[in-house]
Amino acid sequence: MSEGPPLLRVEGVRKYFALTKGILFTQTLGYIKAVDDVSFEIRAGETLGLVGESGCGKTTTSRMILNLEEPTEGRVLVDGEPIHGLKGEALSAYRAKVQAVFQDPWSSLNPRMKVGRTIAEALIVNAVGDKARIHERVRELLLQVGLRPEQAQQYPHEFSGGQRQRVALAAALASRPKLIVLDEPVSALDVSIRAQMMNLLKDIQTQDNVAYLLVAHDLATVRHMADHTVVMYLGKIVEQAPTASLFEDVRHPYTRALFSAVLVAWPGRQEEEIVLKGEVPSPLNPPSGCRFHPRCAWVMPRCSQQEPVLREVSPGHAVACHLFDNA
Amino acid sequence: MALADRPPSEGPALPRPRISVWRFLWPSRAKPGFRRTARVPWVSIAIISVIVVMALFAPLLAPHSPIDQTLRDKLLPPTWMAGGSDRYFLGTDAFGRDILSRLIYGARVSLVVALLALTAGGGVGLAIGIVAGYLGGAIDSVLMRLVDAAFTFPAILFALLLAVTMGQGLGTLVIAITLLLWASFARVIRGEVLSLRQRDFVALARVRGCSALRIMLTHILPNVLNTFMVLVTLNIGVVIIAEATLSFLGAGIPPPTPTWGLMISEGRGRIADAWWVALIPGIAVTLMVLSVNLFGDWLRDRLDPRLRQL
Repeated sequence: MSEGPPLLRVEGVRKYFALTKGILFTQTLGYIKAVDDVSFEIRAGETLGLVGESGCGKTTTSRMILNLEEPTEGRVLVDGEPIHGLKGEALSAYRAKVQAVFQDPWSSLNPRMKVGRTIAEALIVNAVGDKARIHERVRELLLQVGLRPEQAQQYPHEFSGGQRQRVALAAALASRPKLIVLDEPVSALDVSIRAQMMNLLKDIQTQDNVAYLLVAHDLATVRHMADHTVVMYLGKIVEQAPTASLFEDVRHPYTRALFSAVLVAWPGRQEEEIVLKGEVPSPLNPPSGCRFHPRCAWVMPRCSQQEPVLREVSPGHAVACHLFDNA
Repeated sequence: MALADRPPSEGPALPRPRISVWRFLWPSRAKPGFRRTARVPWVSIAIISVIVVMALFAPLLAPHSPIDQTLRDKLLPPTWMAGGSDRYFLGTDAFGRDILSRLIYGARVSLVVALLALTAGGGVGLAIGIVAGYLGGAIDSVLMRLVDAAFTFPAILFALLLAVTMGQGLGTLVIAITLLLWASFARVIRGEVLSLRQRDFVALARVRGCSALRIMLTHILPNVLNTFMVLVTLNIGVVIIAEATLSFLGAGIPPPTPTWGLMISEGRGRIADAWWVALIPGIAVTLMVLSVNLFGDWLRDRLDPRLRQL
């Protein structure tokens, strides 16, 4: 990938949600550690996949990158500039650079707004050009995502789920962002439409050199789209690697379990599925040491006492597991 | 009806459904075929239309002046009763004023008050509900405690106080009813906004760089208008009753302007010998409120079934 400073840099980000009781005299019962010390980078034009099961902190991480949540600790930098606490012009400049497409196409469009207006919103807010230019840009965006320009005059209920997701993508592209956070962009779509949407996303990436942060629980999507993959478990990164290397050489026991759950039907490969014992522990009171140890098949005495750190096991491939301490 | 009218060739003979007046007025939820939501309240719509037409064209429709007194003709009963005059269809009051004409003009006052108070009270409640629900936090807490306070406030007492300090009149009446209404609007709208705020399109609007004000105006407001319209229709009845009550208590529109509440108030002393003076405007208020409520219920079920608890 290209050299130079990363487009997005997430530095030791934590997000703790206080669990409180009472209205007037609030009492803090504890903290839900949704995201706990997460760091990664995305370079221009690159796709980073963020995988993990529900509740592992992927969505919270993406919401912090979108400046919809403030991190409890740590920083998020876009083009070298911290994004939290931005105001005025600087905030608008950041907003234009980072856009998003969310999972649920039924909830991500305002039902009372013509889709053309939704697509144009980022341009209207930032007062980019006059009416005619905005109109022209909306037309261009609709064509780019494979819709007809006349459809700008329609309301969201006149579209199918896949079409709505295309509209959402057009709206995200309006301000020519450098990074688009794709939070489960295809998981709500029919399988037949998923491939279309993924190819569209890839085409747009080649055309516009936009970077993606792809949040997903579906490994096939990540494999198809991402250059790098980060695996999260209970708010922590357990493994991170270039996608090709990760899919070839899975290291962390959790990632193995995750992969075995989907890849059993892979032609020519018959692996035993690793079925995890128990439930995901509560992030309110995570297990001591390695957060995965109560469910791990390779658990060692050390795992419940000492927290493993991310360690590089091969170039670009880092794992947080005591199994690889001496590697 | 439709079943009974159907020619026998179209299917097996079905027993003719018994049409019961009681069932029509009070449909039982337990009985099969109960579908109140589907029944368009034509009777209510007709009554409301008649009253609106009366209010709009009062000078053309009223046979007499609503204010001029003809003491010679005082307390005449309605036409169809013994001693009734052909000139006064619904009889006259203690000052010999035509009750029909006063009723027609009185509809104007009721509707004008309803329109103004609902615009003011509903508008304030809508704005506060949106601001509290969207911004949340301390602003929400403060505004909602204000709403709680408004609910505990005796509105009638306050209206009487206003009438004493500001003098009677349309303005006083509208202010009093506005104070009575805004809180319930604010509470319901806030609840609606709380759920809307969680929707992705609001988060995406923030991502696109919309200010809080812009989000409230372009994303939240259009999505609560349905609920707002339902609340407005459901509250027309409340306003009409409030106006009638306050006029009855002497805190509303001062005489001799005819309002339905005032007419009831003036007639109540003679309810034994000249019942029509109080009863006829009473029936008008009842019909109007009932119609508006039935219409509001229907509109609520059609537009926003989630509001059923109201």
